Amino acid sequence: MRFARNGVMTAFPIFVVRRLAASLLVLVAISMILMGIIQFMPGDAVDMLLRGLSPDTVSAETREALRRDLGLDLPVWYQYWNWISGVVQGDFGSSYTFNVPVAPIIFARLKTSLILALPAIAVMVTFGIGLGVVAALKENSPLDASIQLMSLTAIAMPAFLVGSLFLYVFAVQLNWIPAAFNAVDLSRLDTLETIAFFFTALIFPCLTIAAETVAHVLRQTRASMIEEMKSNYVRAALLRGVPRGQVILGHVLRNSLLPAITVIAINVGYVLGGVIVVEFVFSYPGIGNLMLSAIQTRDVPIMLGTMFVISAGYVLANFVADILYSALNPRVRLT
Amino acid sequence: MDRLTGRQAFSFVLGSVLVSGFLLLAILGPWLTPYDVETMNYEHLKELPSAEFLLGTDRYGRDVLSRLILGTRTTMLIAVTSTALATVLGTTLGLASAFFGGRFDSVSMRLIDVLIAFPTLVFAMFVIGVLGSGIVNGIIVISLIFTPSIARVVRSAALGIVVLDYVDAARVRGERASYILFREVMPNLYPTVIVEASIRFGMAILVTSGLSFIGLGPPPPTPDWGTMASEGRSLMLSNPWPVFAPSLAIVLAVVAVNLVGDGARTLLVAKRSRVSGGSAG
Repeated sequence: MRFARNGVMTAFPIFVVRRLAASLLVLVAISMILMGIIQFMPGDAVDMLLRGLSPDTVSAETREALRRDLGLDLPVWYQYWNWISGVVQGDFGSSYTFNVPVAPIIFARLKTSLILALPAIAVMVTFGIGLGVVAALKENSPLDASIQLMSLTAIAMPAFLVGSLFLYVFAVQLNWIPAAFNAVDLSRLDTLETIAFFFTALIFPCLTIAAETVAHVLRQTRASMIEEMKSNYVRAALLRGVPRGQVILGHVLRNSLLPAITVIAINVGYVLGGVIVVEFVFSYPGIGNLMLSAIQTRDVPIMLGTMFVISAGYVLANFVADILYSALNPRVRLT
Repeated sequence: MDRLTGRQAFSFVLGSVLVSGFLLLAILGPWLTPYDVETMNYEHLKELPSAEFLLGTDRYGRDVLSRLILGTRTTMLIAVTSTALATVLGTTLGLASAFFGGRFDSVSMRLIDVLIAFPTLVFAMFVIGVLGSGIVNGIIVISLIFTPSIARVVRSAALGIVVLDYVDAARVRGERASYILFREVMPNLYPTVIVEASIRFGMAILVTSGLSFIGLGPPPPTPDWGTMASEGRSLMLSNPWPVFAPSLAIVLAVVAVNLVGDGARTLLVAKRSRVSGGSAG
């Protein structure tokens, strides 16, 4: 396909492959940066492994042997290579604290976290776009004003406050939900029970995560809808007598969704951060609490593994957004 | 330049007054606290608000109001310093990238792409987890996560300026790069930079209190809003004030900063403000 201004359109599959390669490169860079940051950790992993033992009971030879076992006597780039070649095969090393492979632990916790994160993302997309469209169509009405006020409040309220309020009302006062979610063993529940548990209890941590991101998405959707409605092509279509509903559905919505996609991708990052805070507030046994406890015990393989998996999720979200964006707006594929 | 409507002007003034109030509280804190913040008073544990303790006491019998006032200092110190640091670093990097272009630009922009690819709050937790918690490390981490996005915004704004004739003229005159960047280019970017810094300042307050809430803030007994809210959770049933008071302070501070930011954007940048702004309440 040829376009004006000498632009040549990249075919869609080629565009996808190119974005995929770029995302993989970003992942490699991320893994290097994480390994680089770990080098700034004060103290030595061996000291942490042996904490609680007095220095006299462990001979210098034992320490050296341990250091060799963990590969800590090797240069940084070699340690990095050992780690990343394992990661590629799904092996994230062994925990310093539990002395078992960390990959199964990380992925089990990831699954638990996704039970919160995926519905939160769904709420963000549907309510963010839905409320944004409603607010834009009813611009300056009392409905618009109250949606706007709610979104400003949601943006200013830190997730831990929203979560604490939910806990105060629904766990402490009404006793509807458990005060600590780690008391419930999710792996024992079957699908139906999990769904039931979600709607009776997990909905609150889920809404806590979604609140702020819904506000971001709705503000962007509202702003671009209103701007789009004032553009000349919309006025022309309306003046020609095209029904308002048709103009909105056929043109305005599609064009206003483009900036919303970018904002949604950025907000997946907020969801991932929100998941950690919310898991802490509700004592929910997800990947965030795993990372926090690894930080407290200085368990480097778990710290690296959880951080890498969470970052990979964010890279994936941005990749999907890029693809969707280019599908809706082929102009970005012009080179 | 654009003028503020009555309601926008009111919001802007209200926000400015509140922000100045918080900053004054941060500076004058130690002279305003009714009680010592670290003294544990075992005769007044977990008390509800009273004439003696206006916001009650926490589980160690420490005065919540005093800790709230001194906590302003910790939270604002981290938020203000990290925003300032990130603004200076980001602006310098963005300006230099736009001005020098070429390999310097592509290398620094690729680095920024990678740093932006981390989810912000999670990355902050990881880095704090490695370095250890504390005021200085908090400042380092928050400026680290904000610098890339500021650099990117400043770079794209500067790209439109560095090609102008008077910049070329300065180059031909043989001015030094630092002179051209900070005397010729920079004055055009103040609006962008100020608006960007105000957005980051509000986020910095939220990030720093989020970090201390999950236990990665300045170590106790340093009073700090996020830590206070976290510590108070165990008392919530009998006395919600140790949680609500610092949380409300955070909300109020963030709203105030955002009001100032919105006003500044309308006054300084003002291109789409009348379309997309229109803040309710």
